[in-house]
Amino acid sequence: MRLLGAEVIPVTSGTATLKDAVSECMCEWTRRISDTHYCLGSVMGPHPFPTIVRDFQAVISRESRAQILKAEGRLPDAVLACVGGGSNAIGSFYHYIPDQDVKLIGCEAAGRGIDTFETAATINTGRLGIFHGMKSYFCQDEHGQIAPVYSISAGLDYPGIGPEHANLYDSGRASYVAITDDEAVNAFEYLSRVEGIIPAIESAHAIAHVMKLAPTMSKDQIIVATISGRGDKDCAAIARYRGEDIHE
Amino acid sequence: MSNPNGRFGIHGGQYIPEILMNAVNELEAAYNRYKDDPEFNAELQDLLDNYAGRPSRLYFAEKMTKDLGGAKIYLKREDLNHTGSHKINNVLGQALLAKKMGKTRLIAETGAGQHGVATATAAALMGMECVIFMGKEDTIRQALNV
Repeated sequence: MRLLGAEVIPVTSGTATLKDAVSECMCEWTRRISDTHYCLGSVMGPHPFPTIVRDFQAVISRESRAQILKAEGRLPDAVLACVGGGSNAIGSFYHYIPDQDVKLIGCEAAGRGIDTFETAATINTGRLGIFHGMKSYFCQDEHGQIAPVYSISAGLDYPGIGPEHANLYDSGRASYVAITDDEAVNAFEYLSRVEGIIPAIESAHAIAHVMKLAPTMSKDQIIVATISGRGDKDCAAIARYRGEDIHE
Repeated sequence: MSNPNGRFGIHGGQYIPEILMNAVNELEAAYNRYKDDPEFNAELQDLLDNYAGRPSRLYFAEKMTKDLGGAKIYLKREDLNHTGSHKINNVLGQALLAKKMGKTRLIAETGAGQHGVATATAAALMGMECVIFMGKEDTIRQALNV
């Protein structure tokens, strides 16, 4: 980022992760609105951000729907994507929402497990709340304060989920499964070895669910899973997770 | 689909300090003006195709399909986009919109660093100033992106 000419400001408040970076960004925007645009990165925050970001990410499902129709002559049985705030997932789902026979499955980060406090699985463990300008589901403590969340994946390490996902969950149109660090790391290594594709550790959460789901389906059924990003950035952290002492 | 107040069922809305209301109203007005504008969309499509490398491939993962022994698996390869993730799709749209609004500076949060890198890239391309906020913890575990 510095190479590209950007100034990077490390945020030390709270848990010093993504939610604190969002909070700090909102503060900065209030200090200097006239010449500054807050380029929010996920389908969250106050209206109109969830709608704007979704529309720009919907290119994913606009393309994939046409591509699968061309390749297979029919729509997939399931579409999978990882979910933190939920921008790649809503982009992957959007143009399939009216197709009721296409299952939409978001893969959340369970961290060390949804029965532990070290998790970021918002739908599976969170409650209704208001934070970062929106009403949605959030991981909260017993007092309703935003809980410190944890995932091996920095991109999914967020205590909330975009409001459109919360609504897709309420209506039953989409379902949300929780994937642990261990399952994601296994999937990260599996896809690298089997297909020669190193996925981002975020995307590996979706692959982990593909590995569970595909064997339960028949050979004439189809899954489309989104690889939201590449995994070069994660190689050192995964090696450390496996107990190897390497540094970038 | 959100209703005009930005609600998705009971979710969404605008729970923000007064001082930001003008800013989000200005953004909403600009977005409504440009989202169906043919010139804006042609400009964005050109950036997506020629700068970001879209459309991204839908790849049939044949070995994985055989190995798992069930459904056919296709992978939508957003990892092949410029800057290495889906984040660029949104950033090019917002940066172009910000430019039309006369903004000269982009700020953004980032977790894994992918959104930060994408925003810094778009700022460089469009000649805008850029400041990225990143949790200190994340600057350590995703050092490559800083």
